[in-house]
Amino acid sequence: MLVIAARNPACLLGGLILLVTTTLVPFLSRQGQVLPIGRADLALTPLALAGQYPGFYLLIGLAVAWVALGLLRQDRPDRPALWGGLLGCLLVIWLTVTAGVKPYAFGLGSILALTICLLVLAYGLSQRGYIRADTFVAASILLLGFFVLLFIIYPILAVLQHSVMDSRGALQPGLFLETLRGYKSFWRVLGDSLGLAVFVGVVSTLIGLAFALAATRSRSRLTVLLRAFSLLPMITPPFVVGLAIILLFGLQGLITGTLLGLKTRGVFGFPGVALAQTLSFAPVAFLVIASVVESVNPALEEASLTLRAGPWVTFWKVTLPLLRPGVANAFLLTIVESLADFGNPIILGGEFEVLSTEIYFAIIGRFDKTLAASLGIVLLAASLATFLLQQYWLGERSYVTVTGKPPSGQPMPLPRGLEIGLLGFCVAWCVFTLALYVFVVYGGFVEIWGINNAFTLRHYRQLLRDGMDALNTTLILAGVSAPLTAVVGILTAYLVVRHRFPGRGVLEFTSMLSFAVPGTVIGIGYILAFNQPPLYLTGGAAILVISFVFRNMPVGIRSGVAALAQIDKALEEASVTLRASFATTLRRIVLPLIRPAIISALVFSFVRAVTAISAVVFLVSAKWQLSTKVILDQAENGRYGLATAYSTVLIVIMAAAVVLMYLLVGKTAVRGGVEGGGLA
Amino acid sequence: MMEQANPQAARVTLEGVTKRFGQTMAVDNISLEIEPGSLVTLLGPSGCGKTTTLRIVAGLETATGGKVFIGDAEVTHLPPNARDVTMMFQSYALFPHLSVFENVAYGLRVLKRPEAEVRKQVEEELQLVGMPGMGERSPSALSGGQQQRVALARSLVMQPKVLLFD
Repeated sequence: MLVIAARNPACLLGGLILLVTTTLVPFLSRQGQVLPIGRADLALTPLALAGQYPGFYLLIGLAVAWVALGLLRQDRPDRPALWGGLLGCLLVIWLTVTAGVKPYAFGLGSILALTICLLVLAYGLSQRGYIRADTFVAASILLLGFFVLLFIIYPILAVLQHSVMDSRGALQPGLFLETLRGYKSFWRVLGDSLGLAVFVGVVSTLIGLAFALAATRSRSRLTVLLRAFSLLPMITPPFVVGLAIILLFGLQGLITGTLLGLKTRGVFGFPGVALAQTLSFAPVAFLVIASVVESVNPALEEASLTLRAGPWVTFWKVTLPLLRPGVANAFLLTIVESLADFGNPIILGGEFEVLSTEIYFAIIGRFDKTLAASLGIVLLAASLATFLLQQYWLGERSYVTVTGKPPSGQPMPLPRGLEIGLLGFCVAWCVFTLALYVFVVYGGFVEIWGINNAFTLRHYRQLLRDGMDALNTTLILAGVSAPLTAVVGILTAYLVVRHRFPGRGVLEFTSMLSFAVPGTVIGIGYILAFNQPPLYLTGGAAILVISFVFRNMPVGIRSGVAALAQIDKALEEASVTLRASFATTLRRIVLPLIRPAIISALVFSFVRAVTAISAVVFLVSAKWQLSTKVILDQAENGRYGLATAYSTVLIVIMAAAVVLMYLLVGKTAVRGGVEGGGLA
Repeated sequence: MMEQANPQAARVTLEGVTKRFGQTMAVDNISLEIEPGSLVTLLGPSGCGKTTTLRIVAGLETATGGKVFIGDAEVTHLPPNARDVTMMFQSYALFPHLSVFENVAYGLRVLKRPEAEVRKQVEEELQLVGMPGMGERSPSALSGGQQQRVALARSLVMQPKVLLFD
């Protein structure tokens, strides 16, 4: 065959496909309709467009040159691939930007052409030895790097840009400060957001510490209950805790209204939001601290005991100080979570305003992009500062000794009095949490909570009538995004852990960064970045899937990194010296060995997609509506019956997914996933 | 390091090979030539760069400077799977999810050899290392010495140009 006879198969193959693409496939599309729909689209092939934009001749020329070079003998076949690929990528991007003006946006052709050029470039890079591996690895690195740039970095830059750009698009560096000065309540909102975050951080961390000590060091059977508690925030749609608090403490609340006879809206504001966030984030703090408690070397405590210190002294002088980094870690993480949280303040905040909800109202209420972008920058700065502190300051200060040697000896039990006190508190907290869930389920079967408590199936009938579209959309989009998230996340983990290449640190950092960027900031970033040609995506399903994939990517990365750390690198080296390519090694050695991590990444990215709200609230459209947005709309209008019925359905689906995974892979994977997830 | 006496055996040549990890110099300007089919041992204190040198020959590390030849071909920048070199690892690196038979057959299957040939060669190799009929066992059910022999069979079955022992 021609391809086999070629001197430079990568260039020949790439050139041929590029030639077909440039003559037959529409390069552009009518805003968002990426798949070509009719004959009219043939006017949008590069060949047809070249009359108007001569730059396209360069692209066609590149294709022809590759075909020609592919057939010739060369001393250095990597050169045309490397330089041609680089030139091609830049050409495609430039042409998409210049030719993609209203009403046209990027199309199938530009995606294909860019992919081909990236693949040929990858071949060139790997042949040249710049990326120490084969074309598959080089191509994965380039593609992931491109996606991270486009879907994580670029939207954040768009937010930055809009905070210093006036309505006519002129750059005004002073605009950011001016906007914030003109926004009267800025200092109050900022102070309230930070105050809330620190308060929730302190309380959640203390509760998490109590749970961690009780669950890992108590001999009681109740520890099983405490462990199960750690799963709750994962399977909880965003408004469940908030709705439950309204049902108990709101105007018609069971406790405030019915039992105490108070007609008060007092729970709306700081008390309600703080309680809801503490209930949501204490389990996250628990998991972080528990993993540190478990890794404390028992020999240290045994040493203290043999040095004449009693259990109490040992606990105060040895155990607790060893936990300090874990506690600080949990504290900073809950602060990031609280700052990013959107679901609780939006339904419980009332007059109490925080940054994430103010950004939402700036866009949805006032259509003020500049204000939204400026507040977004402030929120981003606060979360990023906390996140960086956690990564770099604490990252170095772990007292946990990782030797791979199983620790010897039994961990010291808690002093008796402390154990009883902690267990009592934790059980009470669990009972309170479970009660909230019971009332949410119950609330879906009641006519009008607190006013007419008659049993009814009305809400579920209405759900079947009006809510199924959004539910189907949610499940389909989450189902589509889950495997993509797992692939992107685990591939990133594999590349970052197992390969050395230029820009590796940057790829690792930015992909974890998307974990710390608050959902509302990513949401406005996507609106600002993908609302006009050449990258027109808003209003479609693709932007929802993309936001799920890149928001949840860290879930896959964390399970992948943890699993790969357990596998001896020599296995993969043995495989490649036995002539297997890196792709084959990944498929036949690595993936089978990290199967539990893959399944956990799949399930948790599905769960997180179904429960997402903060970013997608900006991205849903009439055609592509999501369940969480429907719940929000109902709750905002005071229709708690329908909102709780809908939440109940989601809880059941999430619980089923997690139980299914538990049956498939066992509990280690479940815990890894919880630690990797949880952010609003 | 040793080269098996087999018709495929090839000369290994290192020309001024250097390997740096950041500031640390792991291999400093080593040049040597090893005749085809000869058996050569690298001796030295720990940390002197024996393993790194082997890994450079296998292609698991790239030399920071200098050239590597196998036979007449320069392989300095070739990935490991494009060189005809196999390596036995300190930890043996048997694939835990594959049986002994599938471990030995792995490389042949990657090369898409016909099933009958794979069976025949794997059986022969297992016979050679004194482990006939143990193909269905899992590597974790073997003693350390048996694991080592399986790893040897897995390397030999490829009839490599160069066989490295770490």
